[in-house]
Amino acid sequence: MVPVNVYHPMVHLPPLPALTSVKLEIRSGTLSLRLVDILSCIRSVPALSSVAFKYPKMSGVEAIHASSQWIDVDKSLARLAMEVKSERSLVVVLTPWLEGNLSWEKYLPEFRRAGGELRVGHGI
Amino acid sequence: MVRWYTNVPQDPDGIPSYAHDVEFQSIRCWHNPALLGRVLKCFSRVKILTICETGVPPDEVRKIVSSGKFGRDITSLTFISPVSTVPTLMSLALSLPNLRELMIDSVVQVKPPAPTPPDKTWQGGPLESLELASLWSKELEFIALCEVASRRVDLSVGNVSIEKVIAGSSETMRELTLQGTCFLWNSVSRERF
Repeated sequence: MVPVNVYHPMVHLPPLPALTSVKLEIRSGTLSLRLVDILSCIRSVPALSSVAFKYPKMSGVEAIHASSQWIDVDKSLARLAMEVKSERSLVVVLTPWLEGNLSWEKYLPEFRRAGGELRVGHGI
Repeated sequence: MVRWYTNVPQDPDGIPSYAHDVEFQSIRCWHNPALLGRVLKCFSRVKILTICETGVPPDEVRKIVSSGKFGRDITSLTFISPVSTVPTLMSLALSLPNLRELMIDSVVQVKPPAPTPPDKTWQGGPLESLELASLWSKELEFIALCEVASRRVDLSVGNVSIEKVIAGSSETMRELTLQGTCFLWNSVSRERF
């Protein structure tokens, strides 16, 4: 028996061929679940160059570990990185405090293998 | 930049026609509704118009729009908690031929939005920016029916009709910002056998 997360998005986004930048401000809930829920809805984005996350610092962040949710975040980001048709790779922008607390590079291996980059920004 | 304040209801003629950036603040009810149109006509060169916690009567907007002389230079239109309805606000927005940025945040409805589609759709090219916050589903659907496309879309609204707004800009949108909309997505875990 293999635990699998099945996502049933209430929002169905169309292909977004001109989209270059996505900014997500997540105000509540489990970060990994929220990320993968939204990322799984975004598809057909050949021009995408950056995905930025913002999350409230004081509300506490789940410990990042090799949970199935984080594996799905990794897979979703890897899928988006592979969809990119431009020469520049997809960049995920993290807020500095988030990057400092979490070992993102360790837990997003597929995204890195797909050519994705992690950077620290100053929010959105 | 010179900034000054004037009490528009008491001194409607004390407005310089050369003002480029105009903000209406806290005129929730116009004792004389015709004053809004009269005041707006005074701003013949306005480029940036902000209407904040101010009444926007539908009959007056109808007159302003039908005159065909208002807002040719307006590139940025912002509504923050206007006392009006989305159809009325969109009617004004759609009449502005050079509009580039549109923001609607928290409409204070005087009556529910009309279920009928808009009389007119957006005829210009894609906007540079479309920001929508704290709107109901039917309000978003009405905006989507107006066929406004934008290069930058910023949504801070909590209902699934955002997909219709996004779909309207699917070909043109370069930047998408979603704020606090995450509860619209839900995930269900289950075991695969």
